[in-house]
Amino acid sequence: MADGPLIVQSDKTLLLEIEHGAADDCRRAIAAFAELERSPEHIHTYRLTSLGLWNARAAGLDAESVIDVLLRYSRYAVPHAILIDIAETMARYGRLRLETHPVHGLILSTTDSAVLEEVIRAKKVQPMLGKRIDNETIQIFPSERGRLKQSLLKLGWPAEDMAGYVDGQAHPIELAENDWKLRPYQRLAAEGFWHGGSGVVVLPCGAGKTLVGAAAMSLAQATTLILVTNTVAARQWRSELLKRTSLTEDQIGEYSGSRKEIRPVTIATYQVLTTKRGGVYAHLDLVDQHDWGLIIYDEVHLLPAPIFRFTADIQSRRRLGLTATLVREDGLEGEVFSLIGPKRYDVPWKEIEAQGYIAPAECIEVRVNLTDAERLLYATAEPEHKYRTCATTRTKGAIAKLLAEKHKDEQVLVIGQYLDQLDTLSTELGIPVITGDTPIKEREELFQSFRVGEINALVVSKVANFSIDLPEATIAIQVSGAFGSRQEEAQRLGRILRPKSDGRTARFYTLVARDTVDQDFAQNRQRFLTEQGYSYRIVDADDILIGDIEL
Amino acid sequence: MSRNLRPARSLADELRARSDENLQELFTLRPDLLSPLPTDITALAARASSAPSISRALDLLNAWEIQVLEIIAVISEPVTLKSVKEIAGERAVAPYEKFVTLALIYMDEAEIRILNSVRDALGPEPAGLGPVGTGDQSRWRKKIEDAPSAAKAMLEKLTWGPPRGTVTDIKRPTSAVSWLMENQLLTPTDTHTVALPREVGIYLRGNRVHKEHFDIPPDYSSKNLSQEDVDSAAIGAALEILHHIEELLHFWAGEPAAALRSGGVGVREIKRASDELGLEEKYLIFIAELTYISGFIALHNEEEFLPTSSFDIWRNKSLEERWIEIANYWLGTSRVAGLIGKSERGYIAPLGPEIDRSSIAHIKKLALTLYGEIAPTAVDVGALAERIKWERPRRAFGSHHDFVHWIAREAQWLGFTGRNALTSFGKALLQGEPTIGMSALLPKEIDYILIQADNTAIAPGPLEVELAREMALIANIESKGGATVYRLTEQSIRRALDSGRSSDEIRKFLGKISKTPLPQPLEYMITDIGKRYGKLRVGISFSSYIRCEDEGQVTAILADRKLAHLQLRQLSSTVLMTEGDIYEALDALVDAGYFPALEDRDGALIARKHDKARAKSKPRPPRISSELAQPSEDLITAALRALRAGDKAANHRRSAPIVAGTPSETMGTLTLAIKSKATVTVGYADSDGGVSERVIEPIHLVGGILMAYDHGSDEVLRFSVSRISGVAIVE
Repeated sequence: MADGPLIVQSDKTLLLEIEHGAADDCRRAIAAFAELERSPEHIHTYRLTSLGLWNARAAGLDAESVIDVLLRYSRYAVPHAILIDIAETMARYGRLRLETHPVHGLILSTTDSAVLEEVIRAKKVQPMLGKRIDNETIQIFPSERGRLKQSLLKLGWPAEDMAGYVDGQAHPIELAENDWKLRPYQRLAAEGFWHGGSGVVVLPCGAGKTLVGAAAMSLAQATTLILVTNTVAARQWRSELLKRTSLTEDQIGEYSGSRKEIRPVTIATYQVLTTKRGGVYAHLDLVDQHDWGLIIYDEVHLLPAPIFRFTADIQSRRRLGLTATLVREDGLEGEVFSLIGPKRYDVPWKEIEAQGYIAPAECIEVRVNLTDAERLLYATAEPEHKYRTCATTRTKGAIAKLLAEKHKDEQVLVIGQYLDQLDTLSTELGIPVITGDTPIKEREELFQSFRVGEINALVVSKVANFSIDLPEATIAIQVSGAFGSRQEEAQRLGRILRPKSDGRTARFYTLVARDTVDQDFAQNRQRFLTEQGYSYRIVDADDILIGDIEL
Repeated sequence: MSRNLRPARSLADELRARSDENLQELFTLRPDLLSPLPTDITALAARASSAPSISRALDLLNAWEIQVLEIIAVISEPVTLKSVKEIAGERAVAPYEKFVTLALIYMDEAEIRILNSVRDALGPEPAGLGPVGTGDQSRWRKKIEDAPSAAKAMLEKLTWGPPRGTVTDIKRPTSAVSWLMENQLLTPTDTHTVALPREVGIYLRGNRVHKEHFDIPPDYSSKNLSQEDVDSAAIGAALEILHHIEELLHFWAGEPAAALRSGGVGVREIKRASDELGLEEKYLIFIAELTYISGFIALHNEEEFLPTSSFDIWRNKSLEERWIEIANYWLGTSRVAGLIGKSERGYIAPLGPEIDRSSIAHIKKLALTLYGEIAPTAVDVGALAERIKWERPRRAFGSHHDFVHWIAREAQWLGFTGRNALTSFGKALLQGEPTIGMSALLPKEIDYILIQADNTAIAPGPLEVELAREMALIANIESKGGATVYRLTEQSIRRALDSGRSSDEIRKFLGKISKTPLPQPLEYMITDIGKRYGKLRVGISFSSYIRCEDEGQVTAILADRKLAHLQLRQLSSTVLMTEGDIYEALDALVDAGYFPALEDRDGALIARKHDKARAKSKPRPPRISSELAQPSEDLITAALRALRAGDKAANHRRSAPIVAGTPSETMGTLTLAIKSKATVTVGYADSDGGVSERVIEPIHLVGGILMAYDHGSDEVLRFSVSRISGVAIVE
């Protein structure tokens, strides 16, 4: 197409001009093999990666059709090197296969014995291998299935996993779609996962990931283990499942610090699973001693290292990862892909917003000045204290108060990182505070009264970063955060993205100390959201203080 | 052996008898004959039969032609076209005609005469055949049939070469060897070696010279493609390499590549640049070499490589002009980038002295011509290497296949070829056409960008040169190709301010060329940086100083731990002093998050240049080439006229006969000639026993050695007086 919507760059990025007439068709075509990297207003960036191309192969796409898509939609000549690279990369997939053999059990077989020779010589692979059966086949210890796949991926010879999944213990689960309907993208996401076998679904905060989980369970029709970040989230999952599915109270168990119930559907926290007693993970039995048909990882971007390790052991069980922001500042996205599974569904936030399923939001960065005394303090601070020094400037308190007053008729969350800062704000603003120290019961009560509108403002710490459902919150005021964490910024915005009954726009204020690392971190934090098409507006605190600006 | 008594024709006679057209053809094929210009036809014949010139001429023959030449050289006299065809078949006619044109052979009546120097050039054992034997054919032919079995086996072994065998002692041969020698079927060549006589060899080969005739050129074509597909695949590569050349040189202008003591740049520099530009090392090395052979970088102060002003001139040309320029440099160069890297002899450095190969330009041209012959059909590179080996067997050597693969790879990188087939514009360039029609294939230049909320700016096509340059200053480039993705950052805006742009200008420029409104945070950022920039000044007076009207900022800087190493001292509430270097202070302030600007003694801001370091332009590296430029038609015509005139003069001179004299007479005449600065004709016995006649101007005579200017070769030569058979002074 001489005037196509796609530009294939030599660094393997694909630029998609979204105002183009053919953009939608092109997006659907390339989503099958390219990773969506950024989706700002005009041009979306996808990237060709080995992983993406291999996943496409796993889904039945061949190099010819990938190349055909690129040639069809590309505006300019596609660099020849890229075409060659695609063909070569995709040809590497499937030379090795993991299969179940009637006699030998799990085996690694090949159509190309040279490849098998190459991989079995790799030091990392050797300990996972069993008996050599013949030139083309070797036995594999079933417990090593996950780790082997990971190592083979790193060697550039991804194995096609034909060994399948265990069904797990059957348990009937139906969606109870009486006064609601699964949204189209939720259905697509659940089906995408199911056909792929295992994998990760990426959906914006507030877009109803729990329901994707529920839909997946209704497809699996089997006992399910759900891993969540904390107890509050566990209870939310529980009440959501009760409301939206045929599951009854006695079929859903909570496995947390306070309760240890094991039921057909069990919701466990990451924390309890990673608790060590006498040097061993005391509760990991929960995972492998039961015949789960499906394991759901909520907020998969937070998956702690020990869970990664045991996930490698359960490769024969179906795994579903859910997240809004698959960016890890620790760069472990790759591990998520190889252990849980590839990305099965991803959709730009703005697209969901356009469909009306998440609220539109306005992001405002307020620049506050440090006082001269604070500037001096900041300049002399040890590097590790610099951020705290500037992020907790007193001026932020005054601004937060002003903003909270301005929005006194709406549901306001004040979110921050430092407890003393939060306590001070709570006192100054006269609103209750929830932190990690707040007892679960009190937390739930406060959240509940916030939900029903008995109180309309809360000061919260990072405990409210995830999984807390506060549908009516429309205003968030962020005063400090975990340095430059992109996903935290996105998660916090997510707190106010539930569609509002009156369709109003949510507002996300971030207070930033001018000319400090706070400003640098803010820029990094905002990157994920700007790449999703959100635009920030920067205003000066002084203008707010003298009332010179219309917010 | 019957020999008629008429005087044999010589090559000189043959050349003299040629028509002008015929000689012109010879000069076109063998341009070395004209350089320098021989004085007359005799000198031309001498030049044409000299070993170096013959070697050059044979280099131009293909495998089949070499075989035919070998056949002519080895079969028994009298050699005629008929006797050659008996062995080589009808396909020998074209090579035969070519040899005549090339003056490798000439006709003496119906007999083919092959130059002795051609024989020499074919080696002592042409086609693996032994020395010429003496013996009566009718006698040994019969003998072969009733040879003892051991002798028969020995003959069989020697038949297809090598035609030599070793014996312990020729005086005590084994019975088989002894029998064979007795019957003249083996000739002793020294005390330990025996050889199969040439005639016997040919007879044993069944009256053949070669086992197999290479009379069909090997095929090297691969897939059929359309010219459109080929061009569109290549044009992307061509655009890319032009971009990458600029990128690399901008990078090296900012961070020059250190030169190795032994010449060239080290592995680390290449690694650094390839990481920075995100390019594969081999490709990057090729680009570096391209800039070097184009004269775009040069060694500066013997320590680092910097871009030159030639680069700046080139940058301002159109895309097509830029491509033609580098493509031509690539065609002509004798440097082989593929050799760079690890080798048995250690690391071979890019831009270093070790990679010239005199034959590469010739092979490259031949390869591309072969591409052109089948375009737009794609080339199978392995088969192409075989074909080139066939076309120029004397040029191919051990790593021939590597060389051809490198040429194919580089041609693809340059966009000379696409999908392994020659492009229309590559073909036009090879044929020397004035315009190559590349511009029409290039995507249309655009004059706008799209700025997005994540501070990226995208030019969804090639940006007009001026705009692209300005954008590259204001923003960092994240991705290149058909489109360019820029990212605007604090650091990139500051770079633009450092280069003398004002924040207002930057905003206006972006506003003007962006199709989308500027995102508010970007506008805010630019204004904000502009406000801060220049408040803090760094300058040099008695020592480096930092000054700022904002006392709070001065206090903060003084207290800043990150700046402790500058050892700042406060002179007044607004001025700080540092012992260190001014640029060190500037960089430290930037790192610590401040926005310093450089000022001169009068307090005016100085633009800080980021990528303007330049080396003085130097001549491009020399081409080491065995190829001579094709002489123009005018030159050939002029040369021809001069030759004919010289020949006439020589004939005239020759009327004074050379007097064969005693050595003392010769010495006397030569001494006289030196004194009177006269030109003489001498008869001179050369190393293979022939006597040639030369026209020389004696310069001096010491100890039996005469130094004289030789008109034939146009140089001063040493002559041994003992070999001079006679002298005549030319009047």
